[in-house]
Amino acid sequence: MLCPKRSERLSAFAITDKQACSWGAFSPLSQACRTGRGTRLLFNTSRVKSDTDKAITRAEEQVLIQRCKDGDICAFDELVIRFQKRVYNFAYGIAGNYDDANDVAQEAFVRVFNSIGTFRGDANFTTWIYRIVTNVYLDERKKAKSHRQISLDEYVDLDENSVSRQIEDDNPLPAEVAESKERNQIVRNAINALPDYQRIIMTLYHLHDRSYEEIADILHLPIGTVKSRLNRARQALKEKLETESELFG
Amino acid sequence: MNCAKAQDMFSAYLENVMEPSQRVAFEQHLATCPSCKASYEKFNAALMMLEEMPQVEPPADFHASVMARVERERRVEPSKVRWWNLDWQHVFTIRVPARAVAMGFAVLLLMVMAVQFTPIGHSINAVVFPGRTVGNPVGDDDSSDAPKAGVLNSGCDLAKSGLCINVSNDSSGKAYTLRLSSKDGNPVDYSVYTRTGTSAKNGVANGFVSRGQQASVTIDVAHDRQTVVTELKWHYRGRSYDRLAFLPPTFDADASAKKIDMSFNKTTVYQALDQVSRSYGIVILASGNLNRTIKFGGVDDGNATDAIYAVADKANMTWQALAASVYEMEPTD
Ligand SMILES: [Zn+2]
Repeated sequence: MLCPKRSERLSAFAITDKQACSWGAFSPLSQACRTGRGTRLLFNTSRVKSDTDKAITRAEEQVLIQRCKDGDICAFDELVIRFQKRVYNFAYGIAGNYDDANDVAQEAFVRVFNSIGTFRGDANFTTWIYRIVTNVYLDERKKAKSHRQISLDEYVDLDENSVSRQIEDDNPLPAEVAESKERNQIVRNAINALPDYQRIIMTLYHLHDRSYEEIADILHLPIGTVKSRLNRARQALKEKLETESELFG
Repeated sequence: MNCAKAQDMFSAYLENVMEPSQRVAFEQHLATCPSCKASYEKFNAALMMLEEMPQVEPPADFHASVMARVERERRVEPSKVRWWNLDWQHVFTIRVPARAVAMGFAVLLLMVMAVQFTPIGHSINAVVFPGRTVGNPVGDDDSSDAPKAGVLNSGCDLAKSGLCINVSNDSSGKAYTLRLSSKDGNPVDYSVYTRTGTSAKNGVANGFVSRGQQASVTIDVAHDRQTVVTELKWHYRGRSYDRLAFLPPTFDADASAKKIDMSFNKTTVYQALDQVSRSYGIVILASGNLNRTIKFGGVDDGNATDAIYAVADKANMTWQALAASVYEMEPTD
C-alpha cells in the first residue's frame, strides 16, 4: 500500500484541554482553579495532559470521512494517524493495561473501517468513535468473562507486579519521577478496580474532557444516570485511594 | 446539613453547580465538621491525581498493525457462509458462567449452524422423538449436513439444565429449527410454545428427549413481519427452566452494521426485546422476568449491540453476543 508520506504525523485529535478551567471548579480549600493554574494540594508533579497538536477542522474531518466512505484506503490511513492517540489512550483508560488497550484500539479501528459506510454525516464523529471503542471493550469483556479469562482483579495483580518491576528496575530514575510513576500506578489500579461503567464514565469525563451530554450520547444513557454513576465512581475512587496511606500522608 | 447530605454534594460542589443557598450551607458544614472537610480534601485530591495521569503513546507499530488488519479485511470479502462458519467456531467454545449454573438459571447453549440446511418441512408441530414421530415427520432431516447428536453434545457438557438447545434458520429464511438434545441418562421433558405480537400463547410441541438423541421443532417465521416469541419450558432434576427465544421475521447475520433510531417508552422488557429482534433481525435468548417496565430508553443511530445494551441496562440484565446477530440476556443476580 502506497499512501503519500506525510511529513508530520499529526495526532491532531489528541486530547486537548478545552479551556484552562475545564471543570469551572474552584475549590474553597485551595481557592484556585484546580486544573488551570496548576495549584496542587498535595503533589507537585507536572501535568502532561494537554497536547499542542492542531485540531483538524470540521470541514477537513468531513472530507476525510467521505473519502473513507468512498473506499479510499489512504484516507483511512490518515484517519488512523489522526485518531490513534486518542483511541489508544481511551482504550488504555478503560481496559487498564497496555495489552488489552492495544487489542481494543486495533479492533475498534477495524470496526470503524467496516462500518464507516453507515456513519451519518450529521452525527458527531468523535462521539461515534468513542462509542465504538466502548462497545469493542465491552464485547471483549463479555467474551473474556464467558471464556473465564483474566479477571479485573487479575489485571490489578498484573499491574502491581509491573509496579514492582518498575521500582526494582536498575534504570536510575530521579526520585520524583519514580514517585509519580508509582502514584500513577496506584491510581491506575484503583480505577481498574471500579465497575466497567464507572470507569468508562470517569475516563471520558476526567481524562478525555467529554461533557455529560457527550457521555450520555456515547453510552446511550440518560444524563442523570451518567451524573449519578460519575458521582459514585468518584466516591469509590476516593475510598480506594484512602487505603493507600502514603498518598495522603 | 448533616454529614451524609454533605458527602452527597461533593460532586455538585466540585462542579460548581449548587444553588447559592445550598453552597453556603455546605461550606458552613465543612467549616465546622473536620471529618467532612478531610473527606472532601481527599475527594478533591483523588480526582486531581486522576487528572494528572499522563497520556500514553500507542506502540510504534500500532498504525502499521491496524493497516495490515484492514488490508486483510479488504482482501477477504466476507460472505454469508463465512460468517456462519465463524459463528459456529465461536459458539462451540462458549462456556456457561458458573454463576448462572449456581443460580439455577436456565443454562443453554445456542448454536447457529455452520452449514446451510437443506430445507426441511416448515410446518409447526414437526417433532421427532427418539424412536417415533409425532406430527409432520421431518423425515431424513438428520441426514442433512447438520452436526450429529454426538458433535452437538460435545459442546453441551456443561449444560446442567439438562438440555442443549441449538437454533438455526433454514436456507429459505422461512423457518427456524430448534434442536433439543440431552446428555443425561434420564429423559428431559420439554414443552414449546409460541406467541406472535399480542396473540394467545400457542402450544407447539412437547415430549421427552433422552441422551444421545435429539428432538427438532420447526418454527415458521411470522407472515405479518412480527417476531415469533418461542418459549421453552423443561424440568430437570426437580427444577423448572424457562427460556424465551425471540425469532425475527428476517434474520440478518450482519445486524451489527445496521443503524436504527429506536426509543422505548413505558414498554415492558418483553416488548422492547420483541421490537429489537424484529427491527434488527436478530435472535435473542432471554430468561428471567421480562415484565418489568422500561420508563424510557433507546438508541440513536445504533446497531444491534447498542440496542441490546440499551435494553439490558434499563432492565438490569447482563447480555452477551453468542454469535453474529445472536444474543443472550439474563437477569443480573
Ligand atoms: Zn460532616
